[in-house]
Amino acid sequence: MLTKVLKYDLKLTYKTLAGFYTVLMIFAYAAGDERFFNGSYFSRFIEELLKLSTAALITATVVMSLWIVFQRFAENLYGNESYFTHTLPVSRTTVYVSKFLSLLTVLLTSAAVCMAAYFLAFYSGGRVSEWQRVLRNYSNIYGISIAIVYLLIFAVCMLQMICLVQCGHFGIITGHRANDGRNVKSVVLGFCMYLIINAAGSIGFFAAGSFFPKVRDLFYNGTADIKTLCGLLSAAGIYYAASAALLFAICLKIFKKGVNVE
Amino acid sequence: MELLKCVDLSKSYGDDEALKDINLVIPKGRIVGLLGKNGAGKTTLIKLINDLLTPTKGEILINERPVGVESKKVISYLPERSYMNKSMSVKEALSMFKEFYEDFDYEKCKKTLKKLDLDMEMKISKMSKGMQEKLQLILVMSRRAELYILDEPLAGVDPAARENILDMILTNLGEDASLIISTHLISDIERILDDVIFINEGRIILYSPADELRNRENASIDDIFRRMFKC
Repeated sequence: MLTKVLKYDLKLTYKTLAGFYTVLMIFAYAAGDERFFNGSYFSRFIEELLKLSTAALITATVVMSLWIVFQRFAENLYGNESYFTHTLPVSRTTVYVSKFLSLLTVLLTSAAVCMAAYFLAFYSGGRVSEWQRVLRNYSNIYGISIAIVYLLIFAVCMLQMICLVQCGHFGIITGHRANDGRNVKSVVLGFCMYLIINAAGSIGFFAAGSFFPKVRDLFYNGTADIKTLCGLLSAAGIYYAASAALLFAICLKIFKKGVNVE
Repeated sequence: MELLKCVDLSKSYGDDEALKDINLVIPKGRIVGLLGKNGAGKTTLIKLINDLLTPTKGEILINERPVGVESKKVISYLPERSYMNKSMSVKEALSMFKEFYEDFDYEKCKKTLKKLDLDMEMKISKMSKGMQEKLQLILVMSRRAELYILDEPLAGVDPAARENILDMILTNLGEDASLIISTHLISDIERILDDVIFINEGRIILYSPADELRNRENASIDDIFRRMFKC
């Protein structure tokens, strides 16, 4: 049943997102293909305009992905569609796990599409080899592959996004247990949870500075060597993954207790 | 044999008690009219049976088992609102029902849709409210469920189509299946009812076989309702 629920969830989610992805990729392709531009002033203007539009569309895709994830979650579990969702012969755990898997899939595909669009628009053709050369140089200087740093940054960003959406889910689930002002309560509770998680993370970061001088240097100079940076990124990744897992368990427990659909 | 049983069922929203100590047994093979004024607690009771609300107190048993996955397999529920995703087409809605409900009769549903002039390729968002209600009713009644719960199935339907809808409901109802129908349009459904439940201020004030009540009061259910609630 999980596969069936997930299939419909993704189908309905991508119906909206597919349009965004297509427009973004068309703009990115047009912005990055040098054959379109002959070097004239007008051609240069068009190229910059397309690049700017691609950058704006990347931002819009990220925002839209998050918005759609929240909107589908609220509508499907507490809106009109919830009358269908909650009367399906599936357990609440299946419904919730499907929502979580759907969130992971949307975030990963949106990230992949945005990155592909970015490289297509800004690093096409000869610029890719130039970029690889820069990475190799950094790698020689710091003795660690910069690709690993990028990978770590990407992983931390993704985990933080998952955590953010889980905070939103927490807000929606707890907010909808109230008898009135459900939307306001959902936003406030979700926002508070996000603040708590990030405040706790910052405190942990500050505490780590008391024990590790290299981390402390970050507070004074704003710089750190690449190995310290990798260590901090790994710690942040673990922290966000643990927070997301904890939020998942809390949300599921509350959700399984039952719903009160308006 | 009892199909649905509510034991000391209560539901509160803060200090506001929507349902108070409801005790109710609905056997198999009955058509029950759930009647009451606005805000009497009809929809709350229906939503509790369908697991859309969590009871404050008491329990609901379907085939002697609490509400859950198994009960949802045998209950076919029509809410009083449009609950299908608007971006879907009629065909997609049918496929979805087919995938989730083992008792869904795809061919019968297709035939009924054709009979009522509903296009399979049409998007739900392009349909009028009445058409959406018709589609939902057809989907719900195309299941071979044990208990059908219809919340205001005739509200958005024009008077001319009401007879057709009621006939369709009766035609699709299995011999052992029960039907709970909640409506304000009592005179329209009166003829099909086996039992009536009058609900007021969250309490069941009357539960009686329809014929017995009519004979006893020497009036139609609609008249008795109007008299009782002074409409």
